[in-house]
Amino acid sequence: MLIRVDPGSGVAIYDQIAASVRAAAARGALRPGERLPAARELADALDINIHTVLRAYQDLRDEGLVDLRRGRGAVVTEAASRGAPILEAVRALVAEARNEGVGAQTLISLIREEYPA
Amino acid sequence: MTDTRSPRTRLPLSVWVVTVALPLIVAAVAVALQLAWLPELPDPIAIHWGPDGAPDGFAPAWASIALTGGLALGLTGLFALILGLARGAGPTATHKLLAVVSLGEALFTGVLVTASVGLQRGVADASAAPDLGPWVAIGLGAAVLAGIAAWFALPPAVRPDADAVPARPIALAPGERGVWIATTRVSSGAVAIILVAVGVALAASVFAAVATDGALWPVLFVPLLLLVLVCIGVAWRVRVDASGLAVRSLPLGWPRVVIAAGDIAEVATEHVEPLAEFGGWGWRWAPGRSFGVVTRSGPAIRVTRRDGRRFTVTVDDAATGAGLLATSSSSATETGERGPQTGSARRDR
Repeated sequence: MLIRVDPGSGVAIYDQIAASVRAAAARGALRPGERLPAARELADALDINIHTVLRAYQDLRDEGLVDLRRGRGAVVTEAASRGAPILEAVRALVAEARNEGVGAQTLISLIREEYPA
Repeated sequence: MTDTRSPRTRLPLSVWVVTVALPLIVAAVAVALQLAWLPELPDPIAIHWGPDGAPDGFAPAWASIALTGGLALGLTGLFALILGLARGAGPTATHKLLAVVSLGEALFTGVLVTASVGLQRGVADASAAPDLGPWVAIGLGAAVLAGIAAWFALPPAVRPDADAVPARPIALAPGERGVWIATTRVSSGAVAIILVAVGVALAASVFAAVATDGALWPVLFVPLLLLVLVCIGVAWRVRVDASGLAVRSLPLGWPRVVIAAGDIAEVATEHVEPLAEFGGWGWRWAPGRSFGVVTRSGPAIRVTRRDGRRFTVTVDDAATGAGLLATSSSSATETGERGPQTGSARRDR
C-alpha cells in the first residue's frame, strides 16, 4: 500500500494518510482482514509524529473502515472494499472533467454539493 | 492449470539426458558389473570401512546391488522431480546445477560401491578386504570431472531476468513523502510441502543417528537448521521510503535486508520462478551475486546496487513499490546522499 503525504499541500497530514488508505482499499490493494502498517513504522518512514498516524487511524475507525484493537493493530473491515464498484465511474468522471477543463477543486466542490456529509 | 504470466517453456532434451538418462546408465553398468562378479565374492561382503582403512561393516552381496539400484532410482527420481517442478525458461544456472549434481552424485556412488565390491573378488573372508580409500578419491575425481564436462556440454545458462522492466518512478511534489509497505508470504500449500520435506529429512537423520548407534548424531542439526530457515523464511514485510528498501522477516524482524537509497543503481520489476531462478522459497541465494526473498511465483522488485550486487523480493503490486524506490534512489543521487539518512530530526505536527 502506497501512502503519500505532502506537508505543503494545505491538507492536514492525517487526512492525507486516511485518504491514501481509503484509496488503497477502494482500489483493492488493501483487502478486508489485512493489517495496516504499525503506526510507529509509518511515522518513522514518513518522518512524522506517531500521533498524526494514530489520528488518521482513529478517523478511519470512526468511518468503519478499520477495526482498532489493542495488540492487533488496525485491521481493514469488509466495509472498506465498498468503494470498489464505483471506482470505474470515478475514473470516467475524472477523465471527463479533464476533458472539459474542470479543475480538481471545482470537481470536488461539485461532488460536495451533490453529496453533502 | 494455466498460468498466463509465464508461458511454460520446455527444457532442452540435453538437460534431461544429463539429469536422468546418464545417471541411470551409470547405475545400470554398476549393477551389471556387481552381478557379474557375484560368483567370485565372499559372503558376506564388506560394505563399510573404518577410519583406519579396515572393513568394519558387513552385509550379503545382494544388499550392495540393491543399494546401488535403489539409490540410483530414488535420487535420480528426486532430481527429475525437482527439475520438472522448476518451471520457467531454461536452462537457468539452477537447472544446469541440478543436472550436473545428479550426474556427479550417480558417478560417485556408482564408482565407490562398484569398486568396494570389485576389490573383494577372490577374497575368501571379507574382513581381509583391501582399503577402499583410493577409490573415494577416484570416485570424487570422476564425479567432478564429469560434472564440469557436462556443465560446458549443456547449452549456456539463460539469464532468468531477461523479462526485467526498469521501474517507472512515481512523481512526488517537492517536499512530498511517500512510503510503500507490503507483506509477502509463502502460500500455505508451499509451506506444507516444505514441512513434509523437512519431516522426511528429520526421519532420515534420526534413522541415520539410530542406525549408527549415535555416531552420526550431528546430522540431526540438518533438519533443525532447515526448520529454522523455514520459520524465518515464510513471511516478510517490505518497506520502501525515502531512505531506501527494507525487507524484514516476520515476526522477529530478523533476518533483514536493508538497502540505502543512495546505494541503488537500478530498480526493476520482473517475473520470478522460485525453483528455476532461486532453487526454492524463502531467503535465497542465486548464482551471479544475487540474493532474494522469494515467496511465490510472480512479480518481484529487483534492485541492483552500485557495486553490482542484486537483491530480488517477490511481492504483490511490485510495480508501485519499485516505482517509489526508483524515486527515492534518484532523489538520493541528486542530493549526493550515500547510506541511510541520519540526523534528520524534522517532525511535523
